[in-house]
Amino acid sequence: MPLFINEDTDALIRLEQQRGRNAHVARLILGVGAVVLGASAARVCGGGDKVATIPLTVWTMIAAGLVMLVMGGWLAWRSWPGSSSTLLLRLSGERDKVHNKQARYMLITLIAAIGMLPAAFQASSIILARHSVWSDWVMAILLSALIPGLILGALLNGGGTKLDYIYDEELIQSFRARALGVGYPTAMLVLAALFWLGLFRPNWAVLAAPSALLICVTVPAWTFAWLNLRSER
Amino acid sequence: MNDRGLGNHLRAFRTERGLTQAELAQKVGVSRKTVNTVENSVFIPSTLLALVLAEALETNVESLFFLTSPFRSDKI
Repeated sequence: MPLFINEDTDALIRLEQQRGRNAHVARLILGVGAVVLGASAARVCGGGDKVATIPLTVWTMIAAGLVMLVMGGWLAWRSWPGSSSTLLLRLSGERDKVHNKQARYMLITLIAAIGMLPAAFQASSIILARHSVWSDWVMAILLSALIPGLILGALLNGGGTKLDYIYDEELIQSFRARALGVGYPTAMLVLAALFWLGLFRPNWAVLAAPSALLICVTVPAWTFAWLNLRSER
Repeated sequence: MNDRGLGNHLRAFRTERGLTQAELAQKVGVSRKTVNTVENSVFIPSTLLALVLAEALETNVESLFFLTSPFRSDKI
């Protein structure tokens, strides 16, 4: 008979405590890593075609940020219920594991997207200041497409093909419907506001575009994550 | 009609048959979260799932589910 993480046994309580500690450390490391990486990426974008002149400290920051993201991701993976250790596989239900994997994938994607936001912002501001080179345009367009793409990808197919068999489950269908039902009007409102801002303050609208896109895609993703969390209770 | 909600005796039937949420979920072929949300009246199952749940618990849908009033607005 499979055991589950909400059953009241000493072993499971100890396991949950360990997961809790790992999760706090993971959040801290992921947060710091995302900030460092985002800030460093912004500096690199600002450098444009003068990448060779970027100081060693920036490259060090990028490396540190990457290491922190990898460490944080690993800890987050280990701390989430249903992670891949033998013990946890035995303790978790297969389908719960898949649900949690999907939510975890989405949250990690969100953190990555938030890390990209400063780079997108930086590229937009350089274009606006008319000091741009071609790489700034590439960066702005790429990131503007990549951020929503990443999150929508996670929302629609979080975790890859291994999850396909559970997508037809009606609970997940209802989660998706609710998430998109909240996300669509939010996107319409935010983009309408951006449009009107663009009519009166075009510069502000350009600067606000990456943030607006981030809001549009994070709202449905967080809604899904919240519904998933609520279903645990 | 919209002021009617869906209640259920799922937990009572399940415990009566000595099943955990996970075991029932496995029997029915859904996730434990689905059973949990149906039990707590957070999620209204489809007719198909209601029939499968009833079959797994060796009862009929009318015994398992019932109409309530007023309608709860926090359904998923």
